[in-house]
Amino acid sequence: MKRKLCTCFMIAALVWLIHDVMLIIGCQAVYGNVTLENMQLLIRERLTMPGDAQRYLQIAGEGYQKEGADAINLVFFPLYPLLMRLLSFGVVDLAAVGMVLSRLCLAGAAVCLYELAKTEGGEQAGWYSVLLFTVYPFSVFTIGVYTESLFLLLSMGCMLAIRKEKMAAAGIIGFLAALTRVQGMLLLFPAVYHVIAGSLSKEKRKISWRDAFVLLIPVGFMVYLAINHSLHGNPFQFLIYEEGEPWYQSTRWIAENISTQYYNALNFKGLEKIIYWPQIILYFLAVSALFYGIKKEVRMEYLLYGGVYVGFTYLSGWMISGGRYMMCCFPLYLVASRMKSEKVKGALLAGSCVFYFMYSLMFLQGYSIM
Amino acid sequence: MADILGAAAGCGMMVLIMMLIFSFLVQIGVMKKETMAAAGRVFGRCGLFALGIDAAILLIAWVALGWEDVQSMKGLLCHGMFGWLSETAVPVHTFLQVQYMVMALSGLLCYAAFRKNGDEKSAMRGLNLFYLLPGMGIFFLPVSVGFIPLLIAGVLFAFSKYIPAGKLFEKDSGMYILYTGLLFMLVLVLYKLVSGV
Repeated sequence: MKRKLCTCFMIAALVWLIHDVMLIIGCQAVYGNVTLENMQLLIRERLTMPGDAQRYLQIAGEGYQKEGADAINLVFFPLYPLLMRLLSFGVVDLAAVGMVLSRLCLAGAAVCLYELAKTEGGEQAGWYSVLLFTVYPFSVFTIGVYTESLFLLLSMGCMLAIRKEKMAAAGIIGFLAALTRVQGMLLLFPAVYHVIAGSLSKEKRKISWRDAFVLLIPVGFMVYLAINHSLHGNPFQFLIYEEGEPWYQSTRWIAENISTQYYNALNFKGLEKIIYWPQIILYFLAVSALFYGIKKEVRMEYLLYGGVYVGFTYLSGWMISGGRYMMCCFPLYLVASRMKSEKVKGALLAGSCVFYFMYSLMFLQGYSIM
Repeated sequence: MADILGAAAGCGMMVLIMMLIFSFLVQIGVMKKETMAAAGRVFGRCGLFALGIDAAILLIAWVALGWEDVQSMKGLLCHGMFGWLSETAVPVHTFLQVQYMVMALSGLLCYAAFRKNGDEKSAMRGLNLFYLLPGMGIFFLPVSVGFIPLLIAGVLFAFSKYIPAGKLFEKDSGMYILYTGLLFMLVLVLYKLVSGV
């Protein structure tokens, strides 16, 4: 138990240290020198204000709105802003609470990832997964006022619970994940697969009443639909908002979307290296990794979740945050940790590290990395 | 280029879904692991050919026509037997995906046909030759008679017990000469295609 706690602290310290080193370098790059005041300015300006961060703060502070400019914030799921509101106790600065919450969730997510990878491939696999996850090119979002860390903690926690045959816990955690991001619903796939395949396979796993808890996962999404309905009389109001400004979202087949991404990469100079090419490359890398995982007989629950996650993400017709979304496709880190070649693993980690610092610094300098 | 990327992405997801389904069937004992592995190899081989042929087309077009014309496959291929593409609003990547999947399914049938009387290696060599047959490369492109490879593979499968794949596709220097010859013919066909047949 002591050893486990020690490992958890080491993992938390490692992920925080890497991000703090990046922040210090970022501060130097943006302000020319590193002082406490500059650090606070940097964190305040870049981790609590750009993109969706302000919208989460608005929801945490004032709740969903029925009308007005903030009504469209209904497209964001409620759990993260709710937690910010609850943990602020009505007095503490919401942005500060949001960042602390993200940091704590990041540490928890890293511990879950370590456990998942270690269960399949040993301690070395565990540490490799954690490192690769921490230096994922867009992981700067895990320390800001964004849902990534909370969603990662919950989705990995759910998968870990499935792995450890704690189906009631898996259902409850999955329910919370589905209240954090729409992709949380996808956890139903590996959960149901685990129950059905386990009972039909040689293992002859016995189906128990606790397995019914996995049906709580879509209930999380239904709660969100109920919020839509209570505010606007339409459970799918969020889809109407997503189709409009500023998101212009639609659902189209992956081929159409990747073609569009390519045209956007050619026509939107300045954004091609930070949005469109990373999204295209990440798609092919992810699919290739999942094929590799099938070849290496990585656990089916992980691959199935990875496949539906990638597919669901890339059905989005106007995607500009694909790099950030793909960070939460944690089966990719698990597959990477199973590679045999140390040279390839080292090259992947080194490459990811380079892009992590590059994109993080660009984000801190105000580039449109979303 | 956009169409090829899009088609590769779409087909990649379809094949991934199929392989995940196969993995489930293996886990519950309905499918043999070797069958799934063989299907994976056939899909991989088909993917390599699709990639190779599309890369060759782009390269030839780039050299012959310039980079601008390479961006739109409709513009690149809109003549001769592909003239019909200019009359449809359906994106080219839709047709490409259909053709890639036709070639993949044809490959599966071919492999199964040759595996009847041959081992794994000779079946894969037979598959290589099938994809290298003169003119077969065209069916990786948006053709209006795209089902022809499926017909050919179907016939091979139907008469598989009469095909001595083991002897026919035995590995020797003749096989490599055949590969080289067929590749050369393929490049010629693609060049003719791009320059306006």
